[in-house]
Amino acid sequence: MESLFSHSDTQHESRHVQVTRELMPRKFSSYGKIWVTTLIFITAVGLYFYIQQIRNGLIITGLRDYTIWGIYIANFVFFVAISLVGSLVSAILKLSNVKWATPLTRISEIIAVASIMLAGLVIIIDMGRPDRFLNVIIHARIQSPITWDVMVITTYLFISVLLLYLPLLPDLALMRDQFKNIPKWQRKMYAIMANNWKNTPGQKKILNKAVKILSVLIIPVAFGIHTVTSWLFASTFRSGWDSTNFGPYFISGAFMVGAAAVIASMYIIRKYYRYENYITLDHFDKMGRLLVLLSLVYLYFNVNEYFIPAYKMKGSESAHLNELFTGIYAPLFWSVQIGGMLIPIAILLFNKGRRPTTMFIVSIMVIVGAWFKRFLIVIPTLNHPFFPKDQAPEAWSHYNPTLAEWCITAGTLAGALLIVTLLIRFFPVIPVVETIEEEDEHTDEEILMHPTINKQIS
Amino acid sequence: MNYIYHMAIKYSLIKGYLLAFILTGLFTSAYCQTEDASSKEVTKKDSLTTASSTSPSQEKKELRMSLNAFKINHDLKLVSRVRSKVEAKFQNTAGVEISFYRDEVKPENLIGKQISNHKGEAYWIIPLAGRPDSMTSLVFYSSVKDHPDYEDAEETVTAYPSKMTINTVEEDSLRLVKIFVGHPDEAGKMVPLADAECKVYVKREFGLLEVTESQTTDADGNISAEFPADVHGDESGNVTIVAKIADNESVGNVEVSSTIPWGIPTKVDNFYSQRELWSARSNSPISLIIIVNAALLLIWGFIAYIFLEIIRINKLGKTN
Repeated sequence: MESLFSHSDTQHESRHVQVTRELMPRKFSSYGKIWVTTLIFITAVGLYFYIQQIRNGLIITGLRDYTIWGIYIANFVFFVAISLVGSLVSAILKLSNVKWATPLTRISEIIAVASIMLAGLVIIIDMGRPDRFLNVIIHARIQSPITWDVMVITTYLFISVLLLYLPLLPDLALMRDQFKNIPKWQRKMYAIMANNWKNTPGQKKILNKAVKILSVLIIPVAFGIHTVTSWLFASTFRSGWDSTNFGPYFISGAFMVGAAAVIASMYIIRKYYRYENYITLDHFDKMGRLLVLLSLVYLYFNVNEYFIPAYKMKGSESAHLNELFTGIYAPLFWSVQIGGMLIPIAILLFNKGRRPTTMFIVSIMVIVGAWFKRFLIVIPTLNHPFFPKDQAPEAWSHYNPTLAEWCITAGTLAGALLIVTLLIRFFPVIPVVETIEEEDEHTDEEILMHPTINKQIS
Repeated sequence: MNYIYHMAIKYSLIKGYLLAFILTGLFTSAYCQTEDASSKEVTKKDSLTTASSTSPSQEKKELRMSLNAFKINHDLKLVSRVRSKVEAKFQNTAGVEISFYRDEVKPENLIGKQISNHKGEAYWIIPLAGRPDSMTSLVFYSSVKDHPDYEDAEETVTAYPSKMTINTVEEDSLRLVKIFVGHPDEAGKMVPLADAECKVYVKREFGLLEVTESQTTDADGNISAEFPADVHGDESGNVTIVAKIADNESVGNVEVSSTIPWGIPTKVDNFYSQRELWSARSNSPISLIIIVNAALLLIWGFIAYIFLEIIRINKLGKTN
């Protein structure tokens, strides 16, 4: 078996041991246990209300004939959006040879896997008859964007899991070989998952090639997943949705919220595991700059999305836009635009705004704003159908999510966080072997660049 | 000692988690049981009742049954309908097994069994063509016996022999539907049936459209009705004309039909049967099928390749 690291002198070895010790997954502290218990409790409450929904049907929700897609679909779009971060950090930045993003690749892949899993689940939750789910596949109509969405979500989930798993192989082998005082099942799990990884040149070559293929493959699929999700709306002739701008509008929004999710996770992980040496202030600064850029792009698409229809104020669009700008949804709309986009941009433009705690608060603002933005995309449009609301009860014209809907939605959000937490508990959240190798490379470069040391070597 | 201490802590943690799960489960099941009762109330309000098993201590419900016989062309159709009381109102009852008998309710006379549908109806069709007994009255029974939820019920009907023919003729640019109705006399000889009320219909997609006013047969058992010129037929103009006699004292329910190209041919708009984006799944555009499947094959081909590479990594590890 080859050494897991390329360097093996004493100084390097002690550093390797230190890095390995610091980055290996650790048992939950009392805070961690409270956090997990809270998440389990919220998920259980959501599950309980979902059982009620299966028993009694969608009548327990606020969904009626007009608002057929409520917070479940808003939540689905949100999860799909967040999942896009996997392709941003693990693929786009990696292929661009951005080295500083290494500690963030696994965080972003974990977030991507958890959110895409929940996105698929939320779609089933939204179905009145989940027992008929297979009909969506058996009787699929290839012309329907819903069919494309099922295809692309499944594909994206597979690629994301692979992109999380493959770079994890060296770390899994490390845990298999070095973790001795762990339960038998955990040892067995690492041994199976390590897939006989021995760090041989042949294995490394295959791994690098496979990761490269996946990194390239995930980009069109990631763009596809969110574009198709936007087409679920844009291919329908409805006020607010009838837009050719929707694909890029959704993708830019997804990158923004994904980056914010990574920043929030970075902050918590850094604080909890004391990873100040690995997730540095520089990482926050760079992610802050990236978030500003993505937010500005999203702002640009927002201007396009609202300004042009508002300039024309076509009959059918005006009712929808008036409701957003000055009507019942105005407080939420302006809070989302200002609090979830403009203020974060303004803060992040300054150096002081890109400090960890400030960025954590800003990223939470972006995430909350992004969730409600999806609410504003889905619901107000449904309240303005083109056909007249004839002989329909007054209550059907409004949508107020019920307690059951909120609890189920909270349950899915807690479920996603639970998956992220459990993955972090059992697997290194920062790639151990990759970090060590990069440190070694960096040291080598320093030696070569340093004239005195260089002379001594020669 | 240290080991025992750790084990004790671990055990108490597991116990705590287990207790929390059990409590959650108990709470959920208790709530579900209370919900059960209310959901049953909702089912009761349904306009259609469904046969379900009840405990032996519960009293069986009264079942109301009707049985009718319809002679349709060369077949005899027996229709039995069951209803039971729900909230002081008789409602159609689905899921009840109804047995049909000839002459008497005896196992050897059993014709067949059917389960009542959502209208509470069960059918049995008996072909009459070539039967020697088709010129005599036939007695049939329908019966429900030993049902766990409902009391026993039985009903009878007599199917009378009859002859009804339909002819379509064109006379001086008039299209006439000529119907003859006959019944056997005491000697068993077929004689015309006078004063039998008959209606003429055209079969439509979801029912029958009355096309002439109701007429009664003359002394020769004949009716002649003019067929309107503005009735739409299928693509070739074919229409199915149906003549019906209902609840007649001598012949009961009789119906005959004939298909003739007297309708206005309907131009079928095959807008939705073309291979377009708005068509049904069976008419998807070929280009779209190719593009989607090619994209899927390409991407999943790569995924399959990655899986093969994972297997290769495993094998390389074994050889080392």
